[in-house]
Formats: sequence, structure tokens, C-alpha cells
Amino acid sequence: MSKQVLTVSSLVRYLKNRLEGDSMTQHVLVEGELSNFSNYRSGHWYFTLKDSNAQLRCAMFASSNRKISYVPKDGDKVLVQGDISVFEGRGEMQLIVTNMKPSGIGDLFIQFEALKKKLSEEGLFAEEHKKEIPLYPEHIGLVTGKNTAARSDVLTTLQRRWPVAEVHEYPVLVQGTGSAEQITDALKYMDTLGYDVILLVRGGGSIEDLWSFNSEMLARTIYDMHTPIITGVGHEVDFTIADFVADLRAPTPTGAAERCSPDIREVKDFVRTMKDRLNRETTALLNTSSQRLDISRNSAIFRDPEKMIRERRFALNTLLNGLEKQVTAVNSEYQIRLNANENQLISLLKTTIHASRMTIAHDREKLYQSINDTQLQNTRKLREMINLLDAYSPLKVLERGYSIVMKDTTVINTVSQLNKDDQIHIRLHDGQADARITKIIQED
Amino acid sequence: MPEKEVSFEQSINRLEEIVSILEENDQSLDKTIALFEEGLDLVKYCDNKLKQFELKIEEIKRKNDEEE
Repeated sequence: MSKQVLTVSSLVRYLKNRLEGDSMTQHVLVEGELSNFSNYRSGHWYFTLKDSNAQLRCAMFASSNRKISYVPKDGDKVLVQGDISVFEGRGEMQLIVTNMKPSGIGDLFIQFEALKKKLSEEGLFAEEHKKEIPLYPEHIGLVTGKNTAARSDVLTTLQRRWPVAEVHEYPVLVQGTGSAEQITDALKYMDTLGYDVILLVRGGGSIEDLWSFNSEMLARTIYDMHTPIITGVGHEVDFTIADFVADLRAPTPTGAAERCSPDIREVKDFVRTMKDRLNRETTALLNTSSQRLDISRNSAIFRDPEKMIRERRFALNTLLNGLEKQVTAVNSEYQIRLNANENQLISLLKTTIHASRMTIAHDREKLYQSINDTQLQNTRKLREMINLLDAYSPLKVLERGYSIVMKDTTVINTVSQLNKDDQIHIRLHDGQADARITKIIQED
Repeated sequence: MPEKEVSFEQSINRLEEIVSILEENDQSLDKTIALFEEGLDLVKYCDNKLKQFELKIEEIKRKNDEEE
């Protein structure tokens, strides 16, 4: 038979895993007597829990024991809650304690934790369900014990801080049998009266004293209320279920009164400040408005409205000038074109004239030529004629001894034309003579 | 039915609008004259309103101080 040899580490590790993995050893509640209690500088508590037959090493770390209002000492009977663990370095089993209460109230403590867990899971403590506490309550409902210190603390505080509020009391039993029912009834009733806020307060006491504030019925009633509610139960360190479900938890009754009331001196100061601001703002607004009006009123438009017309006139003039320029430009263009045409015309005319002159000169030349020619021809002809005429002239005949006889102006070529005694004219080649017919002789 | 009162704010806004339009001076002449006239009316109206406001505030303050 051969067994495997284990190392110490692996065995201790095995035991640790076995113990810490066992649900029976986790979140256990253990009751016993405290001994060897020591509070370390680190804030951790180390102690032994024992009964007549056994003991168990325990550690409660600062993060857990910070929440414990109770100060333990050796010999105390306590109820602790925790998880079994193994400290490997020393091979020791210990209980890591997460909660501790003096023994005797163990039941209540467990009930409290169970109810708290249940209601929390149901959402009764949810932040989003909490109602806002009014800043300036005028009607305050107070649920507390008759003739208690808590009651007078609340009333004194309210009187000092916020005397303008009306406070209506509903005295109830705040501990013992029937107290939870009375508180519940009081809250249900007051919730119908339209208070601005309701205070539920009670002075300090043991967990048993405060127990009625851990009632589930009361918790559900508070949850269902329409009026904002502030609780102030016990002291700073005491928490009840009612505190968790209330819209606001104050640490003490006086605290609850303070939380629901503004300080009237501060409110007066505030009102004064607001009044000053109102004056200032109103004046400022008026000034701003006046200024705005002045700016508009003093604008160039109203100081010199003619400017708008002047601007237009100026624009008109500019337009007119432009128009004139345009017209002049067009005119001068025409002028230029006209001049060009004229010049062209003149030069054309000149050319034509010149051409005509040339033609005329040419024609004249030709004419002259032609006249000259004709003249020459005629002169020649005339000379021929003269020669011819000369040749045929009667004078030539006369030279040869012929005469011409004329009566009156008629040349006589027959004697029949003559009568006796007629005066005749005889023409010779070198002169003339007149004669008279003395005899006529007809010959045949 | 009484004429609906135009608020100071509306009036001064309109006045500022008119001034800025007129400063541009690009509206038709007819429109310009109409706006100018409206502007002057608004100046008068706003001025009156402001005076009323001032008087009212003085009155309220006086009354308030007497009560205190």
C-alpha cells in the first residue's frame, strides 16, 4: 500500500479550499465568550471565541469593525457572523468576523438584517423613490412620544429656526407593545392631512427600545406615504428600518427638525438680498431699455432724416452724369463716323473731279488737235480754191480785152436788153466807164 | 374689443429693426418714409412706456416702504 507524499503547503491549501468552499462554514453565526481581545494599531481586532469545551481564533478587520457601535471586551458574550478561513502561513483555522453584537439580542439582530435585506431587494430603500423635502414647510406633522426629550428637542429647534411653521403633533407610544401599530396608524392618518413634511422622531435607546421602528408594517406604510417624511431615531450610530425607507434620515430628533426647517435669519437675509437684487435688476432693466431707446432715437436716421433723401439725390446725380457721359460718348462716336464719311466723300469727290478734269483736258487736247487739223485742211482747200478762182476770174478775161456791160445792175448779154439812149455801165479790167446807147444793131 | 397692447419689448425690437433697415437706406422711398414715420411713432411710444414704468416703480417702492 503506497500513499502519495504531500507537501505541507499542498495539504494546508487543500484543507483551506475544503473549508472555505463549504457552505456550512460560510456566513455562520456563532455565539461565544470573548477572550484575548486585542485592538491593533491597524484597526483590526483579534480575539478568541470560546465556550466551556472549545475555542476558535477570530479576526475582525477594520473595514468590518468600523461599523460596530459596540465596544467589546474580554468576558463579553457576543454573537458574531463570519466566514471560516485558513491562514496558510501558520496552518491555523480562524473565523473572519464581519459583524458582532453583544449576545442576547441575537434574534433581533438577525431579524433586522433579514428584513433589511428583503426590503432592500424589493426596492423600498431606492433613492429614486425618495421624495424631495420642501425648503420652506408651513405645516409640519410631528409623530413622537408624549413628553419626551425628542419632542421638546424638535419643538425648540423648530421654534428657533423656523417659527413661521405650524406644527401639529400626534403623540404615540414609541416603544413596547402596540407602539409599531400606533406609529403606523399615526403616519397613515397624517398622510391624509396635507402636511408639507412629517417628522418621525424618538430619542436614543437600546436595540430593543428602538425595535418598533424596525417593523415591516411600519416600513411599508412609510413607503406608501405621499407626504415627505424625515426620521430621527436614536443616536448617530443607530439605524432602523424606518430610517432606510424614509425620504430623509436624520441622525437625531434635533437633526430631523433642522433638516426640515430653514434658518429664519438666513431666509430673512435671503429675502433682503433678493429685494436688493430686484431693485438693482429692475433699475438696470430700465436703464438698459432707456439706453436702447436712446441709441435708436439718436441714430443718424432721426438726427438727419434728410440724409436719406440726399443720398438718393446724389445717386440720381451720379446716374444723370453717367447718362450724360453715355450720350456724349455716343454722339462723339457718331461725329467721328460722320467725319470719316465726309472725308471719304470729299476724297471720292476729289478723285472724281480729278478724273473729270483729266478727261476734259484730254478731250480739249483732242478737240484742239481736231480743230487744227480742220483749219489746216480748210486753209489748204481755200488756197486751192483761190488759185482756181484766180484762174477762172473774169478780170483775167477783161485783161484780155473783154468788157462787161451792165444796165443798172444787170449784166447785158443780148442787145434785146438794150434800148436807145439807155445809160450803160461798162466795166474794163482797170476801170469803168459810163456810156449811152446811140444805135442798136441786131445781128444774127 | 380693446386694441391689444403691444409690449415694450416688441416695440423696441421693431424700432431697432427699422433703424437698421433705414441705415441701409435701400428701400423704396415710399417704404422709407413709411418706416421713418413708424419709427418716430415707436420712439414716442417706447419713451412713454418707459416713463410709465419708471413712475410705476417709484409708486410701488413708495407704497412698499410705507407698508414696512
